[in-house]
Amino acid sequence: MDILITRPDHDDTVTYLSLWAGEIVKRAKCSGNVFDYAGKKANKKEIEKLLKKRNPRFVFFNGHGNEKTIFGQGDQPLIKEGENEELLTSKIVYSRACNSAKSLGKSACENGADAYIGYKGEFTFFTDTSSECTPLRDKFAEPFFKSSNEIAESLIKGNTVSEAYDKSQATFDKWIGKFSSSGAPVGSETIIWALYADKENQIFHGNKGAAL
Amino acid sequence: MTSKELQQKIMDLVVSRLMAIPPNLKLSIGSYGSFNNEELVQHVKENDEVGRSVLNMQMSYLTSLKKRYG
Repeated sequence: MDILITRPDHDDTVTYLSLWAGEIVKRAKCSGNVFDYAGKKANKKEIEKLLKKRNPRFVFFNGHGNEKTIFGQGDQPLIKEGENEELLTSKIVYSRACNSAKSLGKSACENGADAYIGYKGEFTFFTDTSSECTPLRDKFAEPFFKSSNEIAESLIKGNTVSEAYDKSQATFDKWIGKFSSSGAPVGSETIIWALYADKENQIFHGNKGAAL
Repeated sequence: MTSKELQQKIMDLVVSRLMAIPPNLKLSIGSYGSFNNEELVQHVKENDEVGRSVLNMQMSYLTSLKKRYG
């Protein structure tokens, strides 16, 4: 099974996304051929070529986005509604990008994508300025990325789209509970609302029973 | 209470909640960038896109609490 993961890293926000998606790259390598398109490789030409040539079953986009577009390195559009979304035909797509599930995700499924999981609003996360050089050790970013990574992890384990969604939602709930408790890092309770927003913004379109 | 007074009360509530965020934390909001508590408060007060987004997120969460606990 072929898996494509895009990981632009041209600003601080997408660098966090890229590094946390790196955890999925490691896991996915045990399950299939992983095409890890990080940094400059996350460009439209390379992505289109790979999608056409290898037709990966699972595509995990990381980066900026809007309602109709997913962006790559340097905020170059990778997939745009009405332009090249047919490249997602017969694929399970997970887009960790702002807003793209709102319109592009729906349109992609209407045009042949098997399923599209993403966010109908902004994907937000907190960071600790003292951990900016070591994002994977950032205790305040961890709940946002552990919860959102759960979609990709579950799919790679063989779960269906709806199971992956349910597990990710449950992970958000687990962290919300943990950050509400006395054992959480100081200040945790002040950022729960952002975790809740990501949880609520996460949606999927298409075949809920689809699996890799 | 008038609509304007209600909006002011909501803004005051959200500002208070944002000021409680430790200063070492930043909220990353997509392509808008990352903001500490004082910057978030400024955006809310200016009622720009970032401010409205933060205000809506806060109010959605508070509404969910009301639904859960009555």
